Amino acid sequence: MKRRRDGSRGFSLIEMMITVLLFTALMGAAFGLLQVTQERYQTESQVLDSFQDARLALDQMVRDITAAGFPPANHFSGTPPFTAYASSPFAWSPSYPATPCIVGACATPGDFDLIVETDSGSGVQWIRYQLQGTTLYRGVAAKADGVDPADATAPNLVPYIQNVMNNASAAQIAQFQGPYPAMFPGGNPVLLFHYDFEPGSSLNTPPNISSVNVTLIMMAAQPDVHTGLPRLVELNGRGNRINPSN
Amino acid sequence: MAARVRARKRSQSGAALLIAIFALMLISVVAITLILSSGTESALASNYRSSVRVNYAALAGLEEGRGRLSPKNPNYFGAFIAPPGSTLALGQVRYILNASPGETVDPLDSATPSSYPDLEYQKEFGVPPDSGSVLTTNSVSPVAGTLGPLYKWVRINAVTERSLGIDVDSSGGTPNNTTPLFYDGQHLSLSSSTGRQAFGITSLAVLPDGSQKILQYVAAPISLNLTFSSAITLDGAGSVFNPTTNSSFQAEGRDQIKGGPYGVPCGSPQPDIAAVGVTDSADVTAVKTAIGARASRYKGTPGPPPSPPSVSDVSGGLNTSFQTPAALDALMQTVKLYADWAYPGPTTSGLPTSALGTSSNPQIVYVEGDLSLTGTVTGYGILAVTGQLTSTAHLTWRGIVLVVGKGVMTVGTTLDNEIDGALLLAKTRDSSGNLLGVLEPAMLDWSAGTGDGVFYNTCRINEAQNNLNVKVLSFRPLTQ
Repeated sequence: MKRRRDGSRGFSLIEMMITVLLFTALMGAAFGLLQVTQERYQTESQVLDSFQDARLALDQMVRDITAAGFPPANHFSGTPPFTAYASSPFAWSPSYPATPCIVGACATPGDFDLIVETDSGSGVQWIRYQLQGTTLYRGVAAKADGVDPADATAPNLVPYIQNVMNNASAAQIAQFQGPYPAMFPGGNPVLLFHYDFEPGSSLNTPPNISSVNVTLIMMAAQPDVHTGLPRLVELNGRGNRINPSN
Repeated sequence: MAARVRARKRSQSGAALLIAIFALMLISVVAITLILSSGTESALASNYRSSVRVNYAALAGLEEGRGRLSPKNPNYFGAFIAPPGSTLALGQVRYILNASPGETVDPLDSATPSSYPDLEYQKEFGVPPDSGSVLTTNSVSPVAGTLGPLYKWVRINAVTERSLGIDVDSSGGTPNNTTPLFYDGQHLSLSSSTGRQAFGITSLAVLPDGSQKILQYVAAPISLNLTFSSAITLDGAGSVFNPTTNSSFQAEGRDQIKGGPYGVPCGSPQPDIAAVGVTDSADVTAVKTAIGARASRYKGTPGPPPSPPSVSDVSGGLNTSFQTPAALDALMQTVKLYADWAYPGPTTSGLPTSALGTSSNPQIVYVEGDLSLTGTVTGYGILAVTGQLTSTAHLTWRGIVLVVGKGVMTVGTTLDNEIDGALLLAKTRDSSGNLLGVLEPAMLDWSAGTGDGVFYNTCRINEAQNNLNVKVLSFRPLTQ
C-alpha cells in the first residue's frame, strides 16, 4: 500500500467511533436540555400570561376605585338630579340609596363583590366586579333612579378574567398549599376585596369606606409540566377613595 | 515519525473544532431562551411599576399645588395666586414648573411636544389661557442633590361649569363658562358671595419611559363658618356670669371697636350684636342683675346706648354648631383636627410663643383639659379648651376663644384681659367626661378682673377661622 505524500489520512475506525459516540452524547444532552428549557419556557409563559391578565385587571380595578364618587354632591349648588351625581363612591345592595347596609351584612359590597359609582363622561355609571367560582366578571350600567345597583349591573356582567382562585374549593386550596404554603392562610379563601373605613366612623357602611385592598390570585392555564402542580401568581393593589362621600 | 505526529495533530484539531461549535450552539440556544424568558418577565414588572409610579408622581404634583394654597404652608403662594381679598379670574392661570435637569417645561408651547404643553386647558374651557396673565413658579419638591417627583407642571386656575362638565346650578342649557365657581362650605356655587373660590388643580406627570398621567383636584379653602350672635356667649340655660365691678371692663357687641390693626382688609363693620348672649330668657334678667350699675359698659343690641346693658337671649339665632352638645362636640373635634398645637391637659405652664401666632399667621390651639395662663400672653387665632380656662395673665387674644366641655372660665387677676373677636362657653360633658344630652349651665367668672373685656370683631373672627386648610372637593383622572 502506498503512503499518501501529503501525510493526511482518514480517521481510523476507533477515532470515528469515539467521535460519533461523543457527538451523540453531546447532542443527546443538548437536545434534552433544550426540551427541558422549552417546557420550562412554556410553563413560565403561561404564568406570565396569568400575571399580565392579573396586572391589567388589578390596574383597572384600582383606577375605578380611585376615581369613584365623581362628581360628588358638593359640585351642585342645590339638590341635583339623582343620576347626575355619585350618591356614594361605593353603591350597595339592598336598600340603596335609602339605608346603607353594614359591610359584612351587605349583599354587595362584599368579599368578592364590589360596585363603584363613577363618572362615565356623559353621566354616572355603576361598575361592578364580582367573582363567581373562578371567573371574575365585570359589568357596567348607567345609574338609574329607583333601581337596585346589583339588579342593574347583574345582566351586564361579562367574564373579565378567568382562573381567579381566591375563592377556590377546599380541595383546590389543599392542593395549592403544597407548593404555596403561605398563599391561603389557614387553608381559607383569600378575600378579593378587603375594606378600610374612615377613622372615627361609627358604622362600617359603604359610604364610610376609605380604601379597598384588592388581592388577585391567578392560576396558570396548565400545571407545571414536570411536577404536575398548579402554578399561581398573587398580586396586591390598593385603591384609595379620594372623592368625598355624600 | 515526526510527519505522522503532525498529521495526527491536524486530524484531531478538526474534531475538537466541530465539538466546540456544537457546544457553543447549544449554550447559545439555552442562553437566548433564558434571556427571552426573563426579559418578558422584566418588561411586565416594569410596566406595572411605571403605571403605579406615574400615578403617584401626578398625585405629588396635586398635593404641592393644594398645600401651597394654604397660608400655613411655608411655601404659601400668597399673592402669586391672587392679591389679598381678590379672586383668581378666568384665564389667569398659574403653573408650578418641575423640570428635570437639562429639560425645558413650557406648558404654553403647544408646538413643542418635548416641552410638555398643556393641551387640557383648551379642552376644558374651549379657549387657551390668557398668555399675558399666566404666571409660573418653580416647584419646591426637589431637595438639594435629589430629583423630586416626576411631575412636569401643576396648573391652578378658576373653574367653571364648562371646565368641570357639570351643571352646578341645574339650570340646564349650555354650561356656564364665564363665572368662576365658589364653595360655601357645603356646595359649589356660581355666587361669589357664598364662600371661598374653588380652584382647579391639574397635574401632568411623565416618566422617562414615556408613561403619562394627568390628574385633577377641585379644591377650596375651608372655614369653620362660625358666626356669633353675641360677643360673650353663655351657651346653656342657667349659665352664670360673674362680672367684674371694675369700671374699665367692657363687653362690646359693636363690630371692630377694638382689636386692630388688621393683617388684611376685612370690609366695613358688620351689624351690631349683643354684648352678652344667653340661651334662656330667665338668664337675661339674672345677667343684667349681676351687671348692675356698670350697665353702660355692655354695648350692642338692643341699642342704642344708653339703653344698656346689651344682654339678649340669642337661642333663636344661634349658629348650628352651638345648638346641642353633639354639635359643639363635633365642632371641637374639627378644631382638634385642624389644630396647629394640641396639648393634653392640665396645662399649667402656659403656651409656647410659637403657638400664639401672629396676625398674618394665626394659630389654632387645642387643649384637651384645663389650661392656666400666666405672665403676658398675646395670641392670634382660635383657643379651644375642653377643661377650665384660668387666666392670671395679662391676656390678649385676637380671634375666637371656645371653652367647650367643662364650660368654665375664670379671670383671677387684676391684670387686664382682652379678647378681640368672640368668646363662647358651653358645658357639654359631665364630671366623668361623658357627653351630655342637653347643655348644662356654663360659668364665666370675671369677678377678679379689671380692665379691657371682650370686643366683637369680625376681622379677627374671620382671620382665625378662615384658611384652616384647602379641602379636596373632588378628584378625577383626565383622559388623554
